[in-house]
Amino acid sequence: MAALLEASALTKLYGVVVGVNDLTLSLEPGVHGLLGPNGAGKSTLLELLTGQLRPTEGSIRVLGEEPWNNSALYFRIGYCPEHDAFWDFLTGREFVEALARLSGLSRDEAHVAAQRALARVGAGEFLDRRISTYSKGMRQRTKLAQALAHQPQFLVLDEPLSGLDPVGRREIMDLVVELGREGRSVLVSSHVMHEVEAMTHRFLLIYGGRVLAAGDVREIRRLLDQIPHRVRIACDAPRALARRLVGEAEVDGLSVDEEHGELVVSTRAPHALFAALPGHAHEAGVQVRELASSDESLDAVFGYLVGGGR
Amino acid sequence: MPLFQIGYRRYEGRRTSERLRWWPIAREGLTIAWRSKLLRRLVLVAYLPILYFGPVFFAIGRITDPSTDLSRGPWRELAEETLSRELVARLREDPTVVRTAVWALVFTLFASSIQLILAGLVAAIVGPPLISQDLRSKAFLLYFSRPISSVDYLLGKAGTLGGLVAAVTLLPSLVLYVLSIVFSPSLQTVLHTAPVLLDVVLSSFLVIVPVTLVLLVLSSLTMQPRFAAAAWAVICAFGVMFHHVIKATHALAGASWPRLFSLGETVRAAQLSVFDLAGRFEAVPGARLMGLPRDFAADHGGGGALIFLLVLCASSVVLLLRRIAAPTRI
Amino acid sequence: MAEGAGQWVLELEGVTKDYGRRRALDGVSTALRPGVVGLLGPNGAGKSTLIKTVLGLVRLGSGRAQVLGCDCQREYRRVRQLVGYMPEDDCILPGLKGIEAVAYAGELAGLPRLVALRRAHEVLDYVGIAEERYREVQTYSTGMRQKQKLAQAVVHDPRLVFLDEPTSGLDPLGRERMLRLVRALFDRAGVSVVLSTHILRDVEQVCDEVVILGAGRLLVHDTVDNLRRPVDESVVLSLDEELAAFTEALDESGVRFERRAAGELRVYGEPAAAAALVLDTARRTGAVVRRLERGRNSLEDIFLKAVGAGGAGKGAH
Repeated sequence: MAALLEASALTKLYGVVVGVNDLTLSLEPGVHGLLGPNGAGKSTLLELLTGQLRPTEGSIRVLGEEPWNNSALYFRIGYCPEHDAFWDFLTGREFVEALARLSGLSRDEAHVAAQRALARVGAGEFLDRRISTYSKGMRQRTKLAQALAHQPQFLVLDEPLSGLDPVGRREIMDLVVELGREGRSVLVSSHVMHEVEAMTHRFLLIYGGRVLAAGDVREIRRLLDQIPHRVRIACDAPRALARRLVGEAEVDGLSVDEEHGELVVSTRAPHALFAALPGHAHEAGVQVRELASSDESLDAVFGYLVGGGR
Repeated sequence: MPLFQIGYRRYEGRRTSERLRWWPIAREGLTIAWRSKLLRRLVLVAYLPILYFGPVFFAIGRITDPSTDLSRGPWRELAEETLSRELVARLREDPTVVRTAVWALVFTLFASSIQLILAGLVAAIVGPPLISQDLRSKAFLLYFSRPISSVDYLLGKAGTLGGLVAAVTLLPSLVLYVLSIVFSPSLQTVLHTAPVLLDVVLSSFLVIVPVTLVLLVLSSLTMQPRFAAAAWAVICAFGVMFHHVIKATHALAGASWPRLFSLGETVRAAQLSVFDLAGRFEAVPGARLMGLPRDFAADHGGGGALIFLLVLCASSVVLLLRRIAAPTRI
Repeated sequence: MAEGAGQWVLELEGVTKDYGRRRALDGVSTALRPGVVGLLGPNGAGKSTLIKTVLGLVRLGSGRAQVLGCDCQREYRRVRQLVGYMPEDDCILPGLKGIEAVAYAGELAGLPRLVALRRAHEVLDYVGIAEERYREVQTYSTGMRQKQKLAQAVVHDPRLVFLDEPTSGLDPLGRERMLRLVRALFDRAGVSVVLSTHILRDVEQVCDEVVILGAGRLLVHDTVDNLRRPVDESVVLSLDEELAAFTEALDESGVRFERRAAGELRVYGEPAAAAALVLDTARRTGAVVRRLERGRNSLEDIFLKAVGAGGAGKGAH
């Protein structure tokens, strides 16, 4: 199976401003999250791989081909941009149909494709009203429909949930998972970590125009097990528990909050700590109510990688 | 040593009067507009005619001063160029009576030199983005989540544009007036020429108010400043075209209604009726007007022009209030 | 402050607003205590109409809205003095530098010029804009713009602030910072906040109470704690690895439990007792518990339930 995306020493400069800097990566087919701070190069990367920009140096191949000036490839890619770019006077249906036709479908095919895509994104009875009357949520759904209509092999979605209410967010997240199950590849760029986590385990983190991390969240997290984890323990006698834990080699530091009944343990070996904790609690006679590592989530992984722990 | 709390503090102090809320709006508008080099240059140009008319008033000053010897210096010739030989002679004979008429004439000449054109240009630069930019960027929300009313907002915007149009019409005229007093033989002249000052102020407002209101209306009708600017350009072009048509066609020269198609012509006609040169000169026995002044002497339907402008301004205000008050903006 | 302000920061009584045939707000009645409140609802549920009502920008069909005792319809100037608004859109006044824009906002709210300038500097410090305040606003990044808008909303020291999607466009670190600022507004400065957003995690993290609107009606108004407390109490845990011995031991103890996903279990019962049981069992069987938390309803489920039943259906907007 050909790689979904291959970039090799990819660089894009706008004059002296850097977009991406010597970026090399290889993504297999599947659903991936594209993460990164603002200004890190995510939009540049997306524009490069949808053929809107030409690399200054290096190369990028999508589905085995170079995207620049490659109209045959565009048909296999669906792009939902972050910002709105509509012909306001058209209705949602007309808009999606028009773009489907531009992708190469015949008039009848486009009509069917638009109908199907709009239904899939939950467009409802609004699709025959003018786009100028649409709310943010409706515009977002129209953009998504346009990306889906020609049944592309690879979908590139830039902040697909923006403007959607919680119901809509859940629907689109489910849609992305479904698309993945259908065998399509999806690249979702988003800032809301817990939503990305709900859609995929694989992500790509861009920082300073370069790849900081790529792969499965769980793998990354295991690698990060080398760095200090903060484990929050809610119990009835945090100081007593702290007294027992301080003697353990795996514990680097302790922070006691008696007012809230919490103990935060800093450790480089969270696994060992979790294994030993029930025993310590039992011997100290402490009742533990809650146990959580604040560094388990994608949010925390992101924060650590970007925040300066590299 | 005690530690003090920095960071967010409560504010219990005084608040400004609600009637003055338009002032920050006008002031910020002026600050932003003033950053344009082109605008600053235009404003400067408005004062250039003073380089000519200042000396003219100096000449008039010498002429009206019986003690000066007119045979020396170019002053007599300078005055005769602007006024006429007979007028200068009459002025010398009887300064107190003729003075007001002459002042009015010179100020009319000054105002009609370039002020109207400059006002149009200033309005074109400053006016279009005033309201349309706020509509486009939804800065509207910023304004109307504050304790200000539509009237405050409009006054502020009008203050910005009106202030700048005044800078090229009223202010140069006032500067010239001060000079004319300074160049006069005695400060008593103020008493005699006060009516002229009033007319100067009034005629400037005849430019400032309609231009400001029309531009604000245009700006409030669109979200793109360039469309408002284009609309204003069309109005001005139309006006210029009509001005030439009127000049060329002698048949229309007498009629007053065609002038209404040109905003510039309408304003000019209104200004002339304010200065009332014909009336003033009738009071000066024996003075004949030559050439250019004849244009000013005839009645160009100034009364009709004034009424037209009044209606224009009133309807503009109504339209603006309705546009600004629409809650669907937000 | 008007009389009868009492302890309510915002009071709504039968607030109704129609736009032509469409009813945007339908008899909304509730009162908010000082604190941080999340305002939720599908698109078109009436959230923006509600904000417009409080700001006195729309005329109500019927009903009354009061902020700290001041009527929003009749005393709109007074109310706008007490209320701050951070809109979702970037309402940029081009050509102004950051500090100028914030000071301007303060002046519009009635602060004398010098005071406005001083306060602008203070609030810009508070939100964390340093040297950038001397640059023009259109050169700001998304994160800075959001902070700038927040500064503009609080420069005139309001008692109640409406924030519309304050974390939109911010990366995770920016989101954290913004949420901390929002919480600190109330905790440290006593400014009540109404947070309107679609990201429910933000609400869970920062809000004390939640108001859910649907099709113009008030569907839910309760504290976050109450809403998240489940009917059936339980604890949720994650094991590092599935261990048969662990589940068997639980079985033997007779407690009711269910397997949610690989290594994830929910054990029913009083939370403290259930937690004790879980840890005891882990100790005896050698299982490694990575996470143990009280079972709580997610705000998302609550939202979906409330909206599905009472409000807009799927695909309406």
